[in-house]
Amino acid sequence: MKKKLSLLLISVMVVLSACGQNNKENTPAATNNNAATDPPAVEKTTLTLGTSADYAPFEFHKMIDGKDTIVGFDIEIAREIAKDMNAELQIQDMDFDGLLLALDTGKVDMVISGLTPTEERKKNVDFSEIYYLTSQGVLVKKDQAEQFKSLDDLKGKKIGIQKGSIQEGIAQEIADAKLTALAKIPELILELKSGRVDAIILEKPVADQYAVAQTDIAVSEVKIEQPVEEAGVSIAVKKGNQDLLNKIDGTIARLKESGEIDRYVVEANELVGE
Amino acid sequence: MDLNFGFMAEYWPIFLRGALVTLELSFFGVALGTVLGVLFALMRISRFWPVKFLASTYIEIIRGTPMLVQIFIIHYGLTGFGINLPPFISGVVALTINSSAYMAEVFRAGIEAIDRGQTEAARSLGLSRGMALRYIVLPQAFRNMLPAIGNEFIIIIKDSSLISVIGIAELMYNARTVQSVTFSPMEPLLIACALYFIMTFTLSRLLAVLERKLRS
Repeated sequence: MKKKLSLLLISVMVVLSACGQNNKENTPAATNNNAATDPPAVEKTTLTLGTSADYAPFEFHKMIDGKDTIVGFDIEIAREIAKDMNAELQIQDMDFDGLLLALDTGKVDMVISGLTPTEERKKNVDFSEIYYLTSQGVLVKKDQAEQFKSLDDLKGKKIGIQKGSIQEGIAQEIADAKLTALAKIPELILELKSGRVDAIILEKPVADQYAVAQTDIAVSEVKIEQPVEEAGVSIAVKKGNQDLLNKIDGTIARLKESGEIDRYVVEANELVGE
Repeated sequence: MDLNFGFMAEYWPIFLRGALVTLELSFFGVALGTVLGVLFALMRISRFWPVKFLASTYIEIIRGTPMLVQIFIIHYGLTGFGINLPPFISGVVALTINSSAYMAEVFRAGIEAIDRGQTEAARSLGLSRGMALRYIVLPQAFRNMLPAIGNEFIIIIKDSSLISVIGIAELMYNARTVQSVTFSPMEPLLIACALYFIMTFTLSRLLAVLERKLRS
């Protein structure tokens, strides 16, 4: 019995470690360092990106050649950063509200997930330069779209937002609004369709995509004014990781200069619609 | 509510792969959990009180806290102690720990259900305490416990959906992925639901067959 148990334990362990090798299909294979033949070249390192890939066109899943791949313009930027650092990019997809925790505990090196650098967040992480300016969209049921013309129309209404997102802060400013904060966007859409919330506030490009795909919801005419510092999105690294931050800022400056970022946004939006 | 399952033509492999990972996670969780469960059950019936106390404490704590919290603590909390597990391993560890506590109780009940006379008879034939447990009590107990072990497997399959929060591409996680790709929130959940049911129902049928075999 004891022998059998330990045998079982060992065999399970072996299979487990084998499975552990290939459980993430969206991470590139490990690099082979041929130390023997290489001249003292730059060491290949890995750069781990944390993101919440349910946020088209920023980052989302897409079937490409029958393979589930994480794409989006945030991901393109991450690839460029990794390229500039001569590092291997690894992507870890998780819930949005787990991102900063993962950064803090060293599970990931950086977070790119349509993050707005708020004062609150700056206490816990360091942010790069702003790489993109967003605007907010308000999704409502199509047959109720007439009732939502301006921000005042949201007063006292039931509003859905993503937990831990910048929109949560916006919604908290609205007088008498009852908020529903959920982890994932599709869950919010369900809340709206079933009438449990009257409106959802989310990034305009994301809102647009849902309005196209779902016939019974629409983007309302509500405009939400934001100061520039609140509309920008940037990249988060662990507090004090100045070295990585400098490299990231370098890449952002290069991409802004060449207009690459705008091109990524357009491409990502096209990819969503396919 | 008009449902449109058109996306399945393109996305069925994602669901299938997710279901496979769910089964993998559950299998390891139950297998390792069984091994640990036996260990803790034996500790609990030990006559040496510190060992007994340790096992009881572990079982009570694990059974008395939500699995979701355990998952977060194992995946994120352990990094504070320099233990940085990849998500899949974190998931297996969480399921193992959780199922081992429940299994330990199943085993303990199974062992205690065997008539004391069996042990006494074995002892009077000259078997040591350990031998009596190993050759007389445990084999009988194991047969009685099979249904409970199977039930635990089914519970673990369902609970493994919680592991999606740390980003393992199992069935629930992949269902959410398809939700956000297709911008259709309801249908992928229904597919996931059906797949979970197929898995658990098949398993419970298999268990019923196994039970009949053992009884005859």
